Amino acid sequence: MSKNEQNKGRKRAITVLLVLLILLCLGGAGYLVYTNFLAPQEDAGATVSKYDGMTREEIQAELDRQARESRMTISVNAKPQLKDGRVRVNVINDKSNKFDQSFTLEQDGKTLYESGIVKRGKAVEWVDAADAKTGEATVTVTARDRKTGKKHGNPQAVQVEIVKAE
Amino acid sequence: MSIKNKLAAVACGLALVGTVAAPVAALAAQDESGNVTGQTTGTTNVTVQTDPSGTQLSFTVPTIIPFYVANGGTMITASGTNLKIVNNSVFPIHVSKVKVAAVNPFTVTSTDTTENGFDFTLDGVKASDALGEDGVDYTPTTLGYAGSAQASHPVAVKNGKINKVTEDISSAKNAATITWTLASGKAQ
Repeated sequence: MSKNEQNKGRKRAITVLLVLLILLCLGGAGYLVYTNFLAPQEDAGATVSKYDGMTREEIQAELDRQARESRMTISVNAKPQLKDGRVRVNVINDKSNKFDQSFTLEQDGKTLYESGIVKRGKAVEWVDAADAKTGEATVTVTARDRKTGKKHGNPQAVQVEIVKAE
Repeated sequence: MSIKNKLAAVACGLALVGTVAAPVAALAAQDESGNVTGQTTGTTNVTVQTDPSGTQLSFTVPTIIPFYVANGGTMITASGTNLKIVNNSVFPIHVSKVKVAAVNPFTVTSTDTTENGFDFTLDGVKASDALGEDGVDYTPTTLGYAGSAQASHPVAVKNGKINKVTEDISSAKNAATITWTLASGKAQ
């Protein structure tokens, strides 16, 4: 190969490396921007309330309304079966709910499984939980805003008893 | 009669069991069966089936407990009927524990000199007694099977009092999380 061709080859390699480096930097910057500014932030459950000028009865009605409209149904298998490293939690997001949900499965202080978004009317039956064993565990369900995916209010949870599948 | 003095509401989040939900992850991942694995934001579509074993534990509960702060620091909340826990299961369930955690800059305390400090009772259990990782045993509360006369439990949230409010609470602020633990069976 002539010197000219070698130089061309070297320049091409350097160009490719530079492009890759730039792409990596852009990807990293994009990730930082997403996680710090664009990713859904947790909704602390605050309710907007201006009660100036309202009577006591009106305030009570507003408080009752807020509580009523925040209601959510949790549905979990109280005796999840364990089989081949999988657990049948059967978490159901009731179709009557106003929120999407996500959930975790924990045992002995350790998180065995974390779900994605479970849409309203949908369910997750079996989950992979290689470290699960028979005995007490906790399934924690979090409401998620259907548009933004932000956490809504606070987690709801159930104490369950993992049993061996027959 | 209009209430002329400045009013504000403090919202309390409600949670059941003392664990914190997982953070939102970025990308979806599924195993061969289509079940979601690991940290994902994917959606899993699984056909819902009736559970023949009758072990599905289901209940309905408010996710927000809103408080209104009146003159003198008295806190008023929604009525028990609107704060009720309703059992949808075919077997009785019970509330076994409660845990309360304050949300900065508020403090849950029985001391009446702490700025932005407040306290209240849940079915007779003082919120300030329920701080700490494990919470405390709850007042024995059994909810009968779905459709029974005892399937619904109105939660009595009372004795709310907040001290020296220095935060701007003209719009509701989250002040605490309340975590109940529910389990199958009757309360012992």
